[in-house]
Amino acid sequence: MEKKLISILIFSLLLAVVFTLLSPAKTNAQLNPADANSDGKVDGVDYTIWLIHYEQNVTGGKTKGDFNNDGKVTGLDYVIWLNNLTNSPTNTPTPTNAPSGNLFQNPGFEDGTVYSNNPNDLDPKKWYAAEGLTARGTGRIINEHPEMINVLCAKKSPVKPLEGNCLLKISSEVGVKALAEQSYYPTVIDGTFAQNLGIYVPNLPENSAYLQQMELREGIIPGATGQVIQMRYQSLELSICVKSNNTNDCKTFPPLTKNKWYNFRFTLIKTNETNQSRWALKIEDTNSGKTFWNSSQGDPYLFLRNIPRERVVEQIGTIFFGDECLGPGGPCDGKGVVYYDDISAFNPGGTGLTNPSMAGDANNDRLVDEMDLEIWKDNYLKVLDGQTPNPSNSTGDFRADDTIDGLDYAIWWNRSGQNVPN
Amino acid sequence: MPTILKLLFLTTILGLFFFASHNLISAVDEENPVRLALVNAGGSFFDIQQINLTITPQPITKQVSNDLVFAKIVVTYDKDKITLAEDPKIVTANWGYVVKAQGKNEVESKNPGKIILVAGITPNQEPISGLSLFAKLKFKKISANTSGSTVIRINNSQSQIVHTPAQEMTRIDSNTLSFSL
Repeated sequence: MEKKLISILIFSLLLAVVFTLLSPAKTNAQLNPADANSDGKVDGVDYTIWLIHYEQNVTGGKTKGDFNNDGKVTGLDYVIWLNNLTNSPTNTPTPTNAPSGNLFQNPGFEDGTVYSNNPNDLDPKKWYAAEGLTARGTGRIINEHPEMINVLCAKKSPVKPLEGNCLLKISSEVGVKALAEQSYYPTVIDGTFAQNLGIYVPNLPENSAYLQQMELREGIIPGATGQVIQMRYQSLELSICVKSNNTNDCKTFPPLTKNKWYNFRFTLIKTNETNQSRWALKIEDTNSGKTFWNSSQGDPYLFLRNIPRERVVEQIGTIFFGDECLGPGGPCDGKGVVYYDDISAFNPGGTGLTNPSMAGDANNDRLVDEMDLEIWKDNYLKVLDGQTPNPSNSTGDFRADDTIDGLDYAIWWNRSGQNVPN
Repeated sequence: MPTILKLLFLTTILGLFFFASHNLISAVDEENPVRLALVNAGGSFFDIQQINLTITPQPITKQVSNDLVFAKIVVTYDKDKITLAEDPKIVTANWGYVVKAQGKNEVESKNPGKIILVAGITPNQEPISGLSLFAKLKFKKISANTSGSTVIRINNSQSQIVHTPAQEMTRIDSNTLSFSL
């Protein structure tokens, strides 16, 4: 009997050893406690997941940023993320330095060389018709945890504000190049380029060091030196710079107001046809009528390099916006928002509400209005757990996906002013 | 004794040994208290008073690590006597990621004014050791009643300071400021 038991024990041990040897070895990444999204990397995406759940009690362990699995997302989890990040040099996101003038230094745009004879760049499959959150310091988009909607809309008609197809590339940079040759290419060459840009200033502390930047660049041309019109706001201070011919003219404006939309119109008018193009720039706040920049009234002009006319595919018209993060203003919190003005063209997708017609009517007064927007603002970025569909609507989660984000805002926007049928 | 019982006994002893050694190490690592210090230790409260909030790790019994990488400091203040003159500022030259910096002047509320300051270092940034300026708070006096009253206090129960490897430091003092108004 004893020999039999020993035999069984030895056999069991051997079996365990064999199974251990044969079972696929888990990689370090899979085992990594800070890899919240289990993509095999510990990076800014995992940090953002931590940030979203910071100071919350959670049940999802590391998938919710609770890297030590104690049920709470705290600074301890942050340090676990940091340690795993710095211990994995190949996975460490490279902080984005302030733009030095070379567009191609910005991550995500390496494949952005675009010419009219390259149809691949017009292929929407390379773009994300979605929203995304800019990963801090990486310039990348975290699609798993959408922030506000960063969209760019382009219209084929020239000399009009861009609208129409909304595209978002997998980076914090969005280019209008996709429709360039069909839209404003001849317009830019021949004289006028106009674009509207809406910026929403979120309700963040003034010193939270967020930074949003919008640029109109010279174009996707190899060797471009990056003359740009650059508008950025940080800590509610708006500055507009025109980099031209190695000079950098900047103007700073009074603080922006939080929780407010600003709609800027950029107009560029080519003023001569010499080899070195000169463009008159006008930047207006279309809400207040205030002009921030006007070359014809003393502000600097934008000069572009000597580029052969046939190569001026997108002489002006590349927009970059995003959370620059490690620029002159220091680190950012990744929560800044830049909207294009025509958000109504953006399709936020369907809603999971049991009564979809109620979507947007958070206070259930049968009208989608500013009151509902206030509720959405109060709950923005909150993650709901276990909510039934219609109560989600009452919190601003108009899509009933348990996350109150920019997609919900888009639903509100599209339905605002409408009555909800009984 | 049957061989099977001997094997079971040996396994149990080994298990107990590993369990004990693991918990022994954990206990040692936790002995790393840190002191929070406020540079402005008290005195007369000016009409506008700036408070430099510093973190000073001071190991008492055993130095494991002083490398601070994450801090959350919650400050409460008597909003009937003082108010924030401007929003609190975390010193970003020392701390990389500013997760949160909030201050509230809750006039209607019976609760005291509350300031939440949260920051961590960024990847590749040197951990912070020694005295480090964490944040600047600027208050304005709004009442002249009572002298010598405590108007600013660090809420230790809600604050958290973490060093690397991820371990929470223990706070040892009350961190109370007394100002004569």
